[in-house]
Amino acid sequence: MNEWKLIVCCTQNDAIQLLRRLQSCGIRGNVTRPPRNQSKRSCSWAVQIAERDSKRAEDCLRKGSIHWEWME
Amino acid sequence: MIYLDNAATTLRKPASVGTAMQYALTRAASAGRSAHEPAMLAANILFDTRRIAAQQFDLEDPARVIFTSNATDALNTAIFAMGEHGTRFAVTGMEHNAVMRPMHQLCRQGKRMEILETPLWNPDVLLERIQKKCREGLDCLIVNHVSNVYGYQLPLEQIDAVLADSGVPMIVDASQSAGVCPISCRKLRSAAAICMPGHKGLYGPQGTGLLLAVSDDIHQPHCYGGTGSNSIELDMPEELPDRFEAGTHNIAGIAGLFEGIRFVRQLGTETILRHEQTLRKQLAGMLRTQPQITCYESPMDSLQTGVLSITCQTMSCEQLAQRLAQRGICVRAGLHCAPVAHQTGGTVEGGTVRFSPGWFQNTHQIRRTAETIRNILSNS
Repeated sequence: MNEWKLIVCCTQNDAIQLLRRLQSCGIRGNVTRPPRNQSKRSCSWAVQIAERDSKRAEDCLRKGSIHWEWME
Repeated sequence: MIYLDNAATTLRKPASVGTAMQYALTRAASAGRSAHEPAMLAANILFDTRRIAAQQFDLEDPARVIFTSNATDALNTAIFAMGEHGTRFAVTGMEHNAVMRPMHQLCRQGKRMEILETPLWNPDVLLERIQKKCREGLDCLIVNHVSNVYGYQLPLEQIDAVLADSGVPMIVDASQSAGVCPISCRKLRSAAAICMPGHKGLYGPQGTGLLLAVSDDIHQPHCYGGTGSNSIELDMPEELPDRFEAGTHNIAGIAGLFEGIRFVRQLGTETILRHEQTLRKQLAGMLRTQPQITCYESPMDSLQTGVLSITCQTMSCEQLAQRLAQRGICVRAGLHCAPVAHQTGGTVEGGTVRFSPGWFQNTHQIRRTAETIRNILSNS
């Protein structure tokens, strides 16, 4: 099992907004560049969180009406 | 020195502006490129400044706060974007060249523009003209919220109501009103874009400005280049704010702008406006006693901000400004890059001397200014 999961975003601004929302729910993460060969578009942004926080993250983002997409 | 040229740029800034800029200059790298610590510091500066700007201007989505280099840059982007949607434009009789020159270019491309010239200090006539123009057919109206020449505050919300009823979008030039008058993107239903500098009423540094891309009509970028996102594509990204922010940001400037906006929010625009109006009324009251001086003042206080223009019968405006400068009083003379406004106000032949006090000026300085003008006139 992976230790980390990535939530992919189109812009850095989106990534920071997403991270701030997660932080408000007590979930730690950091903004990063996702691997190019796994991204649908080039030069994306992502928020990296611990795998164990992924369920909580989904609940948090859903309540904040923020769309998310996991990197596969 | 007495600085009364805040309409050009606010000279004295809150101390936190310089501190923030110095910090960013040495600790923040470039945003939107890498994800290392100094790059993320820069990214967070941008994010926080968008957020505070969105709060200040009641804009729901901070991603619609676009950083520009000044109001002219923002207006060019907005005007050329609207040029993609229609051919029939109108402007008020108070517009600055930051509107008139891009409009002139659009007219060269086949668009039509009418100047809705109406008397100074008469908003009712302006509203009637706008209503009439909407009935005739209009694709966009550009409005200078507050004249940089006369301080004439146009009735933006009433204009918005007329336009919204007709489905006509509006671009607002908020160069003289941002930080001084309340502006709510949520309330201005017809606003497609609101453009402003960071370095005037928002007390940020030069090299900063904001384009509030309120509606999706603002879609076509004006500048193309790297955004750090979806680089493989040659088209600019669709997503905001990246679509309108090609190239490296003025991170230090934007860090300063954040502090400027924070300063304005702490004081409140009402407090700032009242202060500036008080100084303007004091100056006008003292200058009115000079028979050679004509003060351009509104009969209604609510129609004029702190800006005051005067003309002098016995001296050109440039000469008077020069003599004031020699005595350490900073004003601006001439046409103020707004010949259309001067045409409307009847001062295009000789221009005016413009006094524009800001938050950091006081009644003692105004008194000294009036006394100095009296001395200059009595010795000339």
